Amino acid sequence: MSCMRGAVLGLLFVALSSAAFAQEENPAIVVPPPTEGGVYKAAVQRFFDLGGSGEALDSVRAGIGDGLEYSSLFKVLSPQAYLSSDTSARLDGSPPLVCPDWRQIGADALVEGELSQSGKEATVEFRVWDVARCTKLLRKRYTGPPSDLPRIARRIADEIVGAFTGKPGVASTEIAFVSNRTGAPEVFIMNADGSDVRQGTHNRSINNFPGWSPDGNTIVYTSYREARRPFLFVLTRGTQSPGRVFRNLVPGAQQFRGVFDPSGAKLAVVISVDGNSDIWLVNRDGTGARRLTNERSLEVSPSFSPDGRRMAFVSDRSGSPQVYIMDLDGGSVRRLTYNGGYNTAPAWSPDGRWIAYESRVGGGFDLWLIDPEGATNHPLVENPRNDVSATWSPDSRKIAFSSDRRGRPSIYVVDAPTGTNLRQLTREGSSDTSPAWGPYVRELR
Amino acid sequence: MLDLAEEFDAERRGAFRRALTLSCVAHAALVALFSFSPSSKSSVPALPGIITVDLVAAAPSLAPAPAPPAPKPEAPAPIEVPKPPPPPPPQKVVLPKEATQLPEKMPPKPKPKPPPQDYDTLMKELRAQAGDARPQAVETVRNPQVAVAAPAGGTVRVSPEVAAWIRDVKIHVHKTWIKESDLADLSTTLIVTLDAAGNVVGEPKVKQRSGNPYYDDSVIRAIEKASPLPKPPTPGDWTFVFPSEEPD
Repeated sequence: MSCMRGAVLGLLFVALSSAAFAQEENPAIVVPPPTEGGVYKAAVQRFFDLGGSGEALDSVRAGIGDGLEYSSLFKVLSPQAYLSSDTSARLDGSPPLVCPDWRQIGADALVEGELSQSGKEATVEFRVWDVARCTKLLRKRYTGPPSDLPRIARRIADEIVGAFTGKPGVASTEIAFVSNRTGAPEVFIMNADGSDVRQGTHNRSINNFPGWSPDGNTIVYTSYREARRPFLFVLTRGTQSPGRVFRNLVPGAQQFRGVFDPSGAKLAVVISVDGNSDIWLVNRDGTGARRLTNERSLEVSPSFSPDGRRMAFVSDRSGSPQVYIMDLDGGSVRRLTYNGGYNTAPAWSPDGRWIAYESRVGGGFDLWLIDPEGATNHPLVENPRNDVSATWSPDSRKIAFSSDRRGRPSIYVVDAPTGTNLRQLTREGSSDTSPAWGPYVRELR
Repeated sequence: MLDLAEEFDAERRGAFRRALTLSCVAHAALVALFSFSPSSKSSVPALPGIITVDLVAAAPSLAPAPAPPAPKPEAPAPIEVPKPPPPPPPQKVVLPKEATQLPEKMPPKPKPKPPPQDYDTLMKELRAQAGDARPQAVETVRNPQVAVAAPAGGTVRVSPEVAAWIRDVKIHVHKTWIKESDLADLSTTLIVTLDAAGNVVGEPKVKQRSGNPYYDDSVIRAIEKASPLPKPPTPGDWTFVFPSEEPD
């Protein structure tokens, strides 16, 4: 009996201990994050020809590649490295993708598609693969006039960036700026990569400070075109009647600058009465004007927080121009910048994390980034000459600015907050200033 | 069955009492021995060949070894790794409400990024960080146990072979991971099934999401791209943790 008991106990012990052993997990492997972000490698195939021109097929492929590389998050692989076909298969009814062929050449993304063109309409359909997981990430179709193909290609690139990172790229967005390339300073608009510059105003007066509405359809700007005094005007996409706004806001007062709030329903306007400028808030239709600052000092350069509840602005109330933050509900104001004796032109990032501003260091201005609480403050770009007028891309990954580092002022773009991948966008030999980065463009067809 | 259990209990109690008595006597003897030992404080031996590798990237690191409170025995006992304290609650950084006066001299511009490193340099650096400059240190280790992260937090002790494999796997996966620099305060835990050759079998399972699906995807991609991993000590399920920041 006792022998049997012993056997039972022994079995019980073995069973229990082996169960405990089975439950013992392998140790966890904690992978340290990459010190550098790294870039995704993309293979962009030539799209399948459904009646497009060879030129169109090439331009779409190049446009997607350029747009991806503009993001600084992707690098395009040379087609010479491909183990599979250079040209895309049909999106439907083709044999399954051989993922190892793309993995082997280091591709993270594979872009394939079809292009058809009939008369006045071109259709592009594309599909993106996550090669590592061998899964389809995105499939979409765009239609437009053939002249729209470059824009569609940039848009596709932005979508691919979004499919991998959650935030689309900005290659298909636009930047407004002021240039005297035709004589007087006029408002121009270009693609975010500097291509396709279009002239917005043609009044041969002085025009400055373009600012976009959040829907991307309107640009408000300051012009001396009437009575040689500064007032606000708007350019609206698709209409031929740019016109003055806020005629009766404060009778006789000059309007130096207008900035749309994030809802697009209101504008902050810098108004000067008897040489003293203050910031006002006004409805888009000119009603409901409210004075936000009422100081004897100069208050200029408003920039809204992305939630529209706060505003960064510049005041010289302390004796030198400095950046302040105002609570639009309660009106409380606090000073944000303390470095050096001259800080101006704040630009609040769309993700709310940073405020870019100009700081005079030595003889010239540098661009700095500070967080809205003032805890972190560091230079973005430094140069013995002037880097000014920061404007954020809608994804908060880039900043465009004007710099005279190579002679006359040109528009440059740089990655934020790292200050890397500096790129010159304009090279006309003119003075190109006051860039304003537009929002994400509306959905294409 | 009840009788059996009771009897077993009784037997166990008896055994326990005997063990307790033995233990007390042994402890008393040890205390007596060390109290009268002439070579006490100055002779704390540097245990030859024992490595204390902190491979625990995310979990709280091993608590610093407490100062020896009493003379230590000379016997080459296994390293007693103190149980780490429970992970402290994540510290919430309270930013000042008011902007503080910044010094006149501004902080220098953040240093430019170091040039990309090759595999060997990175390997060496990570080893150095882990407190082990010897590439084959595990072979000389007399102590068979090294503390590494446990899946449920804290640390577990594993053989040097497993520790070395984990170290190599970390480097392997670290190199394939692409992460946007502005992502912070995220962590994803994956369960990855490995076959004997180190191939990732099937899609890794997300045990704990980060809250950002694109971040979760980025770490799954890293694992898939890293496959095959170095040959594992045992095939089966392995837990991978991907924190967005280098732990302190």
